[in-house]
Amino acid sequence: MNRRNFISGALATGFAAAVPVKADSTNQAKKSTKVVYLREGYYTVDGWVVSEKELAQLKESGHVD
Amino acid sequence: MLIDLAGKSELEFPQDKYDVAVAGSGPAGISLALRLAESGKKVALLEAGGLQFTPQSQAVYQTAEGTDPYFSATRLRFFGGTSNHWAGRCREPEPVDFEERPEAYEESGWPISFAEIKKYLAPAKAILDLESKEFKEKEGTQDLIDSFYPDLELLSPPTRFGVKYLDTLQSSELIDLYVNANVVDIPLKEDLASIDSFAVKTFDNVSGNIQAKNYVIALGAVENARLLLNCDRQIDGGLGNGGGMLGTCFMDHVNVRLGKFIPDKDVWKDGISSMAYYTGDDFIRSAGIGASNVTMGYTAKAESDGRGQAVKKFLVERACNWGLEDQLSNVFQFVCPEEGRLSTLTEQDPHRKNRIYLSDEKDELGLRRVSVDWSLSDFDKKTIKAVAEEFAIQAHRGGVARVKLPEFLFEEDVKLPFYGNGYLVNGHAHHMGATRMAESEKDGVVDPNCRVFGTNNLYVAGSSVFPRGGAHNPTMPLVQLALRLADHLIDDGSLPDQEGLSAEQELLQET
Repeated sequence: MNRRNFISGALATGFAAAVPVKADSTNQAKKSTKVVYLREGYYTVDGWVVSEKELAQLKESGHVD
Repeated sequence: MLIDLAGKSELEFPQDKYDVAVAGSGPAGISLALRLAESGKKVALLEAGGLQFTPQSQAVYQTAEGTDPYFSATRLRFFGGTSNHWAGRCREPEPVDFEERPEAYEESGWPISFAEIKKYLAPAKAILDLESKEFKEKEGTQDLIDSFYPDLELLSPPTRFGVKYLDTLQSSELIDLYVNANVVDIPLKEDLASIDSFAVKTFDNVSGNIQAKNYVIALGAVENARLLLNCDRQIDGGLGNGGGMLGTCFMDHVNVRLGKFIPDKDVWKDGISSMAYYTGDDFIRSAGIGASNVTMGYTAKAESDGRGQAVKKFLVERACNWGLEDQLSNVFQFVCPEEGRLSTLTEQDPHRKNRIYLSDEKDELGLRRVSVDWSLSDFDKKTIKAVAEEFAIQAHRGGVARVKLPEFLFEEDVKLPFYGNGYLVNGHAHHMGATRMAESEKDGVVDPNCRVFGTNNLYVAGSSVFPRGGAHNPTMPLVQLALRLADHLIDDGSLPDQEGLSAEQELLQET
């Protein structure tokens, strides 16, 4: 799985079709993931805006530490 | 009548003929001259350039060394003015732009009401070839994003004022159109308040003075301020500078590449390629920010253009797959497959640090060239960041798109122009302010009738009088203001009825 698909792919497919980061041969992408608090209930992950619930799902699926 | 001053060995102008002398033949100058002539006023309309573009005339716009060439390259100095490369987008101001909002702005706002401009909409539309057309949403834009609403626009053909109105001006018995007539000074009479004449000079170095009852400069925002600053032979600091405001509060609309997005396929269907939104009034007020347009552009496939397309396509595909698109965007512009881009036209805070001032360099005519200080204020940064965040969240909530915000939004030190990682912050070629309208000279350069403070009969037309710029394209409102100024001059100084429409305005609206 490539770098771009790491987060945006997960978001675009609603997580279901996104390959978990564990299967990523370029696991380095995971280490550089940047989470920023935006405002109550919202964050950015590598710049992509996600809800708190989605961030939890990304963590659960291994996309974000 | 058309009178070309080029090649003349001496300049002689008619005495006691003109009611109004207008310097500048762009949208403001021509709209004003035509309206005055419709009411029987005799007008001298002076264009500094010729009927066509010449490098010699354009060189007069060159700014001083060290100032971004953007401020000269975005203007045109020949008959028809900058309308000669106008894109044609028209957008009305909003009532919220005219509200007093001291919690948001340090400088004063419009000293006239929204209704004062609105009542000139119909004749302005006719001038811009938009009669019988209504403002409407960009096709495909869906009202799904809270805090924003689908933007409203009208697209002029666009009107090239020089092309459209040359025959009318040439055949007019009341308008004398002078070309190659550079106004280089505005001498005052002994009272130091009444204008004596426009001092005119040709590129052959021949000079003369043209006289009228009233005088209007309509040269564009940068040049209006520049000429008044240069007129400091009799008044220190130039004309209208009693409050030290001349040249200050210069504004543009900030063009920000605001991020990228993944479209929701249930919303982006049937070939929709763009949507455009505008900040809602409640959001503007509650966030304490300026107005902004946000445009979403989407293309379904990787695109590049220009030479070497095959190489670019290869690089684009790799860059998009490897997550290097931001870095490669610095080399050439492209869009990754299945991604869209957000861009904005954002209001800029009128603040005194942004200003036009004279350098020691002079042009061929002897006028000092200008330098321009132009930066983002804290207010500007606050507006850009608030608009980006709110739009990204509401687009997500509304199911329209997933937005990726650029890192520079969260950085403090963003300068103009800014180019970084494929992101861009620069101007929209919408120069405004620098001779701003205000109740008194401590806050501006012209009064609510566009008369230059400290003078009896000198006026300014154009977007330089805007005390705020909103997020609306400036051409239509500047034409509306020019028509309003014409009515003021037609009434020899008394304001038109502010409560209702004059008989002439009613007639124009009926037709």
